[in-house]
Amino acid sequence: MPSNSQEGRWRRVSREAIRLISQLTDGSLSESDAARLRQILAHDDDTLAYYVRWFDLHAALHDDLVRSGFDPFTLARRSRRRDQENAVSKWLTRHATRWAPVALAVAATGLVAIAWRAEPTGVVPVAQSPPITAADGFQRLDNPSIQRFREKDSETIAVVTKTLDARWGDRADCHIGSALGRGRLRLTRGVAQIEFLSGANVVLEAPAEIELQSAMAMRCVAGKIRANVPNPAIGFVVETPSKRVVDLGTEFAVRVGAGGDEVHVLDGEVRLEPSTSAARSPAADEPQILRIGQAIRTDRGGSTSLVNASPIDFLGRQRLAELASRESTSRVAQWQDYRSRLKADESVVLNYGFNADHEWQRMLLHDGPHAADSLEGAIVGCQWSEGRWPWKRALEFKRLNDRVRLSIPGEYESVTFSCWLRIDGFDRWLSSILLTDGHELGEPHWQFTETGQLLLGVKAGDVSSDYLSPSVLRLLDVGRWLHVACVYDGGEKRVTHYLDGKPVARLPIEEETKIRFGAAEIGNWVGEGFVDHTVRSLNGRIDELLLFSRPLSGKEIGELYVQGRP
Amino acid sequence: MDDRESDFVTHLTDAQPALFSYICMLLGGVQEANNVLQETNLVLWKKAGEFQPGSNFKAWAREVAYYKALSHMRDSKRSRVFIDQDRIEAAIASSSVLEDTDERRVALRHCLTELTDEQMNLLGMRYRAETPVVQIASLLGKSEGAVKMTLRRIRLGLMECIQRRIRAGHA
Repeated sequence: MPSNSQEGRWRRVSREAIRLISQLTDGSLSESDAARLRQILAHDDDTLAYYVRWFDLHAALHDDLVRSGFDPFTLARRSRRRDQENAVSKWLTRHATRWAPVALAVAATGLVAIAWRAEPTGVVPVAQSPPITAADGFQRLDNPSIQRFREKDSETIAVVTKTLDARWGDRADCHIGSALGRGRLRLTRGVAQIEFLSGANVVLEAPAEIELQSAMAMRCVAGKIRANVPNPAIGFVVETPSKRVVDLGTEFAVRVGAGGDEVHVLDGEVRLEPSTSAARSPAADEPQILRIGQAIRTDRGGSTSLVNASPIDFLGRQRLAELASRESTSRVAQWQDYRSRLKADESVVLNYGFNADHEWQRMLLHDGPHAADSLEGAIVGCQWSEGRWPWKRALEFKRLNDRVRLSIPGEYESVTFSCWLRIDGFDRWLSSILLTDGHELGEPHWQFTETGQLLLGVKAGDVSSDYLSPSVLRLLDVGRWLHVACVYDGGEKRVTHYLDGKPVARLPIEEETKIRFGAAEIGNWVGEGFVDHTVRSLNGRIDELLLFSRPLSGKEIGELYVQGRP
Repeated sequence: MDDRESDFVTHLTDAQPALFSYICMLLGGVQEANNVLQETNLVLWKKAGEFQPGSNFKAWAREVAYYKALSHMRDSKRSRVFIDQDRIEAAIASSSVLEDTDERRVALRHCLTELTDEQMNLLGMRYRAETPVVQIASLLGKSEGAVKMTLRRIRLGLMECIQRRIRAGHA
């Protein structure tokens, strides 16, 4: 058997070759060493056989172990030339629609992406979008914005995963799902949980100030933190003013105050080293192991005392989850109050709260003020799922034909759209929020693009006026609940897009028209007669959709956001 | 989509892990292998019509990957790839290393479960957290050489374990 002799052959590989290969894999190889290795590989079959298996294993370990959860587009790459793209994309677009399980796709925008993950036989599906034609005036193939949009922010080292009444010092935009890079972070109120990309996670209690250094290291400048470090992140470091706490597989807590700092080991053990910034005394240079139940206090003068660890002084993950869930329940009353005020607003044309008494309910109920059965929406395909809070329902739009059909009567000089939306992927060139069937005079198409632009298209005259925001949605927004709104103000002749209560784009109306809807869909589009971009199904969830017959002010939109913010 | 196209997509999908390995062998590392792989995929798509059904897809794909790796090395102003094409093809032919990638990866999964926690943690730091060996060494309070030695032993153990399992599977 050839493989029987394999291990024997490996033993014949010279120590020098083994050293060079090891250096190449885990260190760096000088140019002369590289030349030497090439020479050996060119002549020695045993070394070659060893090298080939070694790198096959190295590649497999890399695939198998490398963290992938935060990075759906790593392998996306822009192609070089448009002619390639067209040939390739046409071909793939044609079969990708029919053969979804195959995880190959070309976004015809020039993105060629093959993704495969750790599963030995598996490939992760990547969605595809229809080709862009020459007539389109949006992100062009030669525009690097699509590429930029899809590239992972390599600065990210941690993510905010849970918060409770949290306020951040100078970062108003910090919320659940926010990606964090290197640098200082100040929590002035509440509690927050941060998960590092290495797997370590840290609960922070205000007032606290920390500095994120890498996926494996942080500094606690002031306040209380509790760190839980799973196996993959062993070696995670928390630095205090006096100590460097090196995790050895454990849960520990740190408190930094004016009088000094404390390290408590709640599980496992840690190694204490003198802080890089601390004044060094010879005695303090000795690393010290601190075990479960132990705590050490270091005062500003540098003298230390061993005390008992006090787990109850530090909020843990479980407790935080309980508190957060209780907090969300207390939102029920606020939500109901807000809904009843909406019902009294005469300008509300459409009011879908996405409530359902039963899973089998296949109608979206309109909540007034003008109760009308004709405003009920018919749910097609979509499944009920969890909304902004555990107790709130949402509809999930996943499959190509998932949609809500409805019909909206009337003609409006101005309208305001408002929607709570969770985007699960920027799959299509255009993803629908609310679109009228086809695109006739006065009909609005409210949607977003694959590069995170909000878009209101209104057919006026012969063409559609397209009111596009910059790329305000980001890949990092995938999976979080966000509020989008759009005001078509016929009086002021302008269109304003809002994200999370703030205006993000204001555009003059190109050609005036009255807005009318008729047959329309949420989360999808019936584009009969249209050739391009007919697939606009949404990948995500919606748990509230409102339509007003007047232009809401910025303040009112801000209020909608604050009232509904999860 | 006709059968021919669907066959092509299946081939290309199946070949991804083996192509990645192959490119790593040529470049001597994983860092830039993804880029070269994606460039390779693009060319393969473009040339889809040239592929003869029934012929060896992986060999055909490696041919393309080889030249992509060469031009990558040239563009980044470095010397050649680590192994010449005829040498690496001979090595592949004399072993089954890139032909049964799926089996090997399943075997690897099993072999990983046989590692001690300590070994697994080290691999986790090296691969999952992508911690440089220098840093691992300082975290563990060991010398760099000792960490490299341990990593080498773990890998060698895994290589042998995979061989053993593949052999048992074929028996």
